[in-house]
Amino acid sequence: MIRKCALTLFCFLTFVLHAQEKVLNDITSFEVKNSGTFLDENNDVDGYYFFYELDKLKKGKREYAVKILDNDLNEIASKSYIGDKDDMLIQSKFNNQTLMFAILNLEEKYYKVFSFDKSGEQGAEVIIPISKMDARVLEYTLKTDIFLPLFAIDNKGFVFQQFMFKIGSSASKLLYIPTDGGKSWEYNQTLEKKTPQSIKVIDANEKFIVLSEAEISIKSFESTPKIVVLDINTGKVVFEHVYDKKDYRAVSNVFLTEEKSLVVLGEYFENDIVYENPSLGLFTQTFDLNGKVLSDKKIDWESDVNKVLGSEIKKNEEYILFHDIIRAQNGSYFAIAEKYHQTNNKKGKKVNSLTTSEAIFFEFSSNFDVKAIKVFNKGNFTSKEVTTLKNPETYAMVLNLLGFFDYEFTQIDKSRDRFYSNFVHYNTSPDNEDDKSILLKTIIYNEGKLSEDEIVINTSNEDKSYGILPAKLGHVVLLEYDKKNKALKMHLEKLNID
Amino acid sequence: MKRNILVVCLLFVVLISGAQNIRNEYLSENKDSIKAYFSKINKEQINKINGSHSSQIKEIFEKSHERNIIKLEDSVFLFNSEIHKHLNSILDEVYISNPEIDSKEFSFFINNSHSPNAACYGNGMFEVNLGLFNELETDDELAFVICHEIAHYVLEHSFKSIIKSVTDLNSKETKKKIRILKRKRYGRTRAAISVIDDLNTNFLNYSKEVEAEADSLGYIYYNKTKYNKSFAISALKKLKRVNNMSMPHNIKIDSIFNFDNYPFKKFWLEESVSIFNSNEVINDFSLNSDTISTHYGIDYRIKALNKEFNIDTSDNDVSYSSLKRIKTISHFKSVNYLIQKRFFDLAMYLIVEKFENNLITEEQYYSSMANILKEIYVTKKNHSFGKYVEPASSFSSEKQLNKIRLFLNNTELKEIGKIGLNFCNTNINKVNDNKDFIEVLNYFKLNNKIK
Repeated sequence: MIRKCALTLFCFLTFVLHAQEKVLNDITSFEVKNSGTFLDENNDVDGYYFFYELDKLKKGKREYAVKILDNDLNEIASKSYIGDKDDMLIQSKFNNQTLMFAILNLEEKYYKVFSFDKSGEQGAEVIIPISKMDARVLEYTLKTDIFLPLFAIDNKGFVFQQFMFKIGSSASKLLYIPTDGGKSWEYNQTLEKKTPQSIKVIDANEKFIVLSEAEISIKSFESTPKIVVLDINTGKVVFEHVYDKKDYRAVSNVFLTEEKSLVVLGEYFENDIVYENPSLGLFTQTFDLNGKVLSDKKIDWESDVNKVLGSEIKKNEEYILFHDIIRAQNGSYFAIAEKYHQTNNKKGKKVNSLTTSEAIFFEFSSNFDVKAIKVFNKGNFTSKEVTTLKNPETYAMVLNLLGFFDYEFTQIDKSRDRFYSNFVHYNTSPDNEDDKSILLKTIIYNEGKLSEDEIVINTSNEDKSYGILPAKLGHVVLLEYDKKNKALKMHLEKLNID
Repeated sequence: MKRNILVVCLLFVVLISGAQNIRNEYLSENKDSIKAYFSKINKEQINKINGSHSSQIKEIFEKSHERNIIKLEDSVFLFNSEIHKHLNSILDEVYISNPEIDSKEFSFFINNSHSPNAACYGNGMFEVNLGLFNELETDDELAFVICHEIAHYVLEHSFKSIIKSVTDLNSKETKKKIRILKRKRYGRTRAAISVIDDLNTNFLNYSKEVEAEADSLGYIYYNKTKYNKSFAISALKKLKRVNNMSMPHNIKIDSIFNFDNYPFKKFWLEESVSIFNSNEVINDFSLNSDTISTHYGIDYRIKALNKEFNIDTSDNDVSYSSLKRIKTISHFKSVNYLIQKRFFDLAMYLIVEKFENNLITEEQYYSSMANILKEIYVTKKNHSFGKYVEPASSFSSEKQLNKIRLFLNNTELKEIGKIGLNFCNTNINKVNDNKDFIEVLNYFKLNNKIK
């Protein structure tokens, strides 16, 4: 059933109110300040939150309401939270034990984390001060997902990542917040290194946390990537593996397997000057938990992949942008990519823009041998023209960072050995600019086969805006916002598997 | 016996439409004259309004009028000759026994809603939901509910309720409270919530009194009829029961959809992990008035009625007449309406409940269920299923309905296709070559790629 809840407004009016309705309505209806999704590491959705400011309190305090929906869109809680007037709710995660919220306050310069347990009781708050510089950088990047701090580990705890900045330097501090009665610990990079450093928490299980770390030299722009495995209970380094600059690897996925090994997947490059040299291919590496490399296999675009691509791609005219590698439960791998080319104008002459076209799925065996490729049509999209375009592959990397490509994310259903890769394409009819639509194309892996499903939403009605939200595995949430009545309708739809 | 021209018109329309197909029962061919009737009674009502806040009160009646026009356009009303005829026979008995009731402006409409309820609009228009026919057992019980609604009209309750709510909101006391809270620098919202809560509580308590008052006068009317007096109490008890849980019938989904060629899968009834261990919505902003029942304290009403009239409930089992025949129509009509509106979960519940209680025929059951499965398949295929069927919720008091929702939401398109095919194949010998059923079977064969 469609949810006609005015989630954009938190409203208390429940009965007949007429004469003073306007006054009471003004006082008791509140526009949503922030909203978001509880996403886990497999991009599965546990629920949704809506954050409203309700009341002004003394000493600059505010009463907020956090409305929580489960992953079926049932409203399950409206919790009160007393905070500072400039608090912003930036992220929330659920780890099967605790619902954790991260607040950012750029004026008072702090992060705050607070949680609700399974009975809905609020736990203690942790306040993490930030510097003036941190606040400035975070303010610029607020609308992006670059610096989201929470990582949930099922039935164990959360990692809170504090991003720190200084001129010419950046670093991260990881704070482990246990929810199973374990001990808290920190893992720190230091700003004193005077070089930009990054950390990404990639995977975790009940014993280990896997990080991908990198340092970039400001002078040479060279970077040094490494994989770090931490003991989840102590925060101590179990092992780290530093990649050679002449064998540069960009890690995209890491899996801790049940066989007590670590599988690392990603792209490899000629050297660490990535922005000049597109990747040479894909790699998979397996480590034991002492850090010993058990296997290291590379697949070369030129010799291995092009062989199977055959006529699917026109050499030097069409290119592939690689997005992600997924490991199926049966041990096979899937690389997800999008095809693109330099745009031709009506006279067939190349212009300075790129056009994306099909989605390409490469299937590899558990030994990382190319098994098959499958191409899915998902509509073309052309970027705006730029004054100079020397290298389409470099430009594609830039456009990818700006969100130009259609690929959104892949949800992994480990229990049923399925995955759902989503591409969202915004379309305008060439004959009529007012005829607009959104196409959601989902490529589904099930029972060893890939199939596709699509949802088309007509977005031509100017009085409404439309959207697609991630949902629980195998589903999407379709949104329809009525601008006039400020009402949001949302309903859950299951994706269809052929 | 008094009966206005419109009712005669309606009956005429109903008698004609009764000979036509089912769909026409939702579309009155005499729509214009019904609209004219709505306008007439609305105008008369509005002309009676004067004094303070009259413009606001008029606006409320205008909105109610607009809503009724929309309901008519949206086929919310059912024009079924047999149900109307039966209802009219009860009305005749009430009017004959109570000549003081001026019923010349009365019109009773049948609302397709499965919710067991009736309504008085205060202007001569009444509604009786199909769900009331489904839930009540006897003419006696229905007669009491009708007398109760007529008492609302005679006592001008809807008019007085609107005046009360508008007056309360504009009262000096409320205005003062609002002035104070507007001046508040801190905690203004909590103060406003408290004002709303007080107004709600006040209104709901008033409604409880009003309901008891309508019971009282309604019982006086009812007492003069031929119907068994004790059924006034049993009608109220049934409304109380449905207020707690209206769908108690145990639906054995795992046996209904278990086939030799396609056994039921346990994960179709698997529930998701909940974020909170709570049996109800956790709400730090709940209002005290939220806990006041919408059926306005039926226990209180039963007690009041018994106290006033000392009703003997010992002969409860002797009914003047049974609604059984009408129920066979109302049950099937309410299911058809739900399928038409694509409320598949409710439709599935009702069709199973009615079949297992022998309230509909075998052919009606199998053809309706096949049709529901087909419609579910169609909406899942075009990704609109979620618009019509609620997701399951661990908070739902309707456990049986929730089980159906869980099943319908968990099953995938392909699975519904196989369930539909197996349901039709297994039950084809029970439908006497029913054309619609065969059509559904062929649809599922095609979609399961079976020649």
